Amino acid sequence: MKTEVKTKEGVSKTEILHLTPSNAAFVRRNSLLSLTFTEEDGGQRVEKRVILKRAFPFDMPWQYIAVLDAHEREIGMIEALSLFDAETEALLREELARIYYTPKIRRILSMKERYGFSYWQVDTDDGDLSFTVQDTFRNLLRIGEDRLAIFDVDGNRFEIESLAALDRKSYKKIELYL
Amino acid sequence: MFFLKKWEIPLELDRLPPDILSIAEEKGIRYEDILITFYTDKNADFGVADTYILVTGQRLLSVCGTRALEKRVGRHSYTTEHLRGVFHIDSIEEYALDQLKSFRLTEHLSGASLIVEGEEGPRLLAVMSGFCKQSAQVFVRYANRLLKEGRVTVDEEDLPKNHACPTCGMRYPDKNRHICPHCMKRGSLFGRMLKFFFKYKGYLIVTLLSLLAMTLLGTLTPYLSSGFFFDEVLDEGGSFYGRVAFLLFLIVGTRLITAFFTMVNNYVTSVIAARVVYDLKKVIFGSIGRLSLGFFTARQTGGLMTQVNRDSNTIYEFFCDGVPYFIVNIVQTVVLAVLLFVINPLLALCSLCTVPLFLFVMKWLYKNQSRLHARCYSGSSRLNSFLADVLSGIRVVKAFSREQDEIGRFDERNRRVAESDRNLAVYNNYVFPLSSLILYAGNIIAWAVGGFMVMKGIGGMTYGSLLTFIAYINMIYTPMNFFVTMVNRTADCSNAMQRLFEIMDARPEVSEKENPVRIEKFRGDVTFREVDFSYNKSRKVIDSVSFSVKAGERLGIVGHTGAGKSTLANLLIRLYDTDSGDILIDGYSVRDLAFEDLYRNIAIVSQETYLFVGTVLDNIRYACPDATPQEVISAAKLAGCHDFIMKMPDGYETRIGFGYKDLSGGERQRISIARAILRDPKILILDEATAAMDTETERRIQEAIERLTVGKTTIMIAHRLSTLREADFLVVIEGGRIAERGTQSELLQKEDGVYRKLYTLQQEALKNAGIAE
Repeated sequence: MKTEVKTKEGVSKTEILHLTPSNAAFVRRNSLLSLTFTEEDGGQRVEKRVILKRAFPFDMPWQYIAVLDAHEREIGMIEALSLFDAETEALLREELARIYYTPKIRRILSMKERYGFSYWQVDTDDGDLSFTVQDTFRNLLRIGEDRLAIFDVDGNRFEIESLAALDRKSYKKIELYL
Repeated sequence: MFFLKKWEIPLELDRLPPDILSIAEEKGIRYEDILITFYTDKNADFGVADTYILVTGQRLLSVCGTRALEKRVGRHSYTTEHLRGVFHIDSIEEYALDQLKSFRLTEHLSGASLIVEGEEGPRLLAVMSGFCKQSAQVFVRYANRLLKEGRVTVDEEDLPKNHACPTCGMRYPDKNRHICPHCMKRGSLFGRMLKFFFKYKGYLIVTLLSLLAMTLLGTLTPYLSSGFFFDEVLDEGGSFYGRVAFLLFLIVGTRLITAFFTMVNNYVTSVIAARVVYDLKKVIFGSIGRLSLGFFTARQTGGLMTQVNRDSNTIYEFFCDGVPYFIVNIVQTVVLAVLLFVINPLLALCSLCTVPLFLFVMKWLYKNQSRLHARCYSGSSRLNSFLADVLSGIRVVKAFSREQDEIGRFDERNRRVAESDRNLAVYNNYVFPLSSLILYAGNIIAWAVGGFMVMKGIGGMTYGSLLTFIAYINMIYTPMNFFVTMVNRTADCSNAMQRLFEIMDARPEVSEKENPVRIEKFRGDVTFREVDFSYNKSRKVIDSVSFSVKAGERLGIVGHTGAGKSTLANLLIRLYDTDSGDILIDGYSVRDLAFEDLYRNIAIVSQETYLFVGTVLDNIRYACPDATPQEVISAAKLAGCHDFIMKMPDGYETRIGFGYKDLSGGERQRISIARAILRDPKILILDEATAAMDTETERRIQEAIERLTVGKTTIMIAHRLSTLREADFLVVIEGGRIAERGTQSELLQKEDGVYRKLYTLQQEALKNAGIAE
């Protein structure tokens, strides 16, 4: 009998723990995001560094954000950033923008395929960049119909936000790989 | 390289510019004291910036700012770009090392943050894009070592390497071989391939000669049937006037000789084709077999073989078809051009002026066509992979009744393929006929100008020579067409050769020693001595593991999934080599032993069983093909698979393999155990061998194993503890380290022990299911 009770507790514990303004306070310390979390029994837990992680990075970038401790164990989830006051929301958005930083490609200046690598020169919102992609077909990821993520050999990620909005010359350079 | 002759920083991950060094000097840091230098390309707000970090024995200095650069290159660490330009300082931070606890790298989606753990908590030290990530990992490793040990001793391997060609900046296809295919001479590539074809030189010469003969005869025919016919036979003043029969004889004769050469050529080509492709594949498959497992995990193996097939065909076609035709076409063009100019230089000049235009237009058309081709190809391969995906998951599709949605998705892809097919067909049918108009323009010019010349008698033009001229003009365009495609074929071929040479030249990471120690029969003592191993340098999978098993003992290795248990087995059979530490068998390092002895004396039954396409008998006998039927049957009985094998329609000669539709997981496993039993090894590794079986079967196999392992060193790997009941002693692995060791009862006595916890958990699970042990 005893074990059965245990399992039930286990199930309820695996339910989502929501972080809301009432139990969580975020501040920036030493350029890192830290969290003061009030547990159900009133105890306070201070995490000097927390990591944010999106559950649905493409469809709901500002909702369902997991908050992890320094050892990447989940503390809880933020259902929507808008639940927090403007200042905290801005702080969290800023932190997410950092973690999910991806240069957005505006124009492809040149793209050459040679011996299994493709060499790119692009114009991004972060200035002109050049990077190398191995096995081009497998490192271009279509996100939905219109978005494209590109992964280079160094583990960088680049994005084309809208293929439809890309100028014709740029589009022609990557068309074959889509 | 430039501003200092000899640089003495032990770990110079990035070169520091002079202005940063003078900032350091202002802070009282002499460059003799600098131990580590490192550069990142972002500031704390992820903006583009330049952050320089330098570490001495006592201090860490971080200088953040921006350098005015005309152009930023992706990989700063390997260029000298960030050394130039005026530097604008934003912030300088200084830390005393004795107040720092550790460094840590947190990876982001794209890039990473370098965090330092200090006395008053963690602190963001630097942010970087992926370009600096690799050297950041090295930085963290050495900086932490510096904090712990107080000094830096650098492995040669960790020093920053240039993975891109210094001349053109392109990445090397193989990190270990610094050969830039772009800067390498094309000629040497083709030269190497030619050597391969050298043994067929007899055939190639015959092909070439017959092709040349065909061409020359081909140019003769139009002359005979037009110019010669009209001017020499039909014309009253001709030297063969009226001798029509003689002309017919000539024409038929040349046709016959042409036919003969065509036959010779076709025969030789078909003989040589099969042999060259056979040879190429043999060489490549031979090299593939030689390579270590690491090579295959780095690539997709399935794709590898199709690629090899396609590449060897490309190369064959280029050398046996492309090159001879190329030579022939050059000859033909030259001969035709000479003939045209001999007939009438002025007319030739007029009508050949369309050739450059034709070449240009054709090149453009082919480019567009290949684009359309590629679109068709990628569309249909996407359709195929979609089909394969849905069909293999058809049970799930039906279970959730999603058929309609899948049909819809299929339809969409199908429509796209149909569209691109139609575009290609339209293109081929409309554009190419139009392009031949240009060709025709040359003709028309010849008719017009030539006709005018014949009428006025300019330049001695006759009716017959005009006809010959026009026939030749038409012939000269065929090689032109070929030349345009030849450019692409050369590029394709050199790519294919590049890929094949890459495989042929790849050096196996694990290789046999030159004069290995030979031991016919192992005793079976196994010792792991402080073994470290990682698949990639960043994360240790095995962290200083030591244990030893005496001959005939049974060792159990327990641990969670992913703790590194199977890796230990892979290291023992040398699928990989250890990073440091050693593995000894009978007192010899496995690195010193001959592969043959190693594999003959060790057998592994793993969680992934692989059965080859063939009969059950072939599969059981795979490890020792000369086993007698008697031995095979007793091995099968020992492994507990005799009974179900006999129930199959063809007994031991039932064909299995290819998806194993006919065998269950447990049956497959038992066959692979029989395979190991037949090998009669001195060391037996059971890597989750019974994981795929029900308790009943497992118990039966346990008995089989018990009988089998008498007198053999046995290493049993499992996460299910019931499997390990027979082990003499146990090693508990957690996160790549040995957490506990001892006999089962010793481990159970440990309060708070990992093993005890696992044991109670599994006992409870059994109790819940109503099976108390």
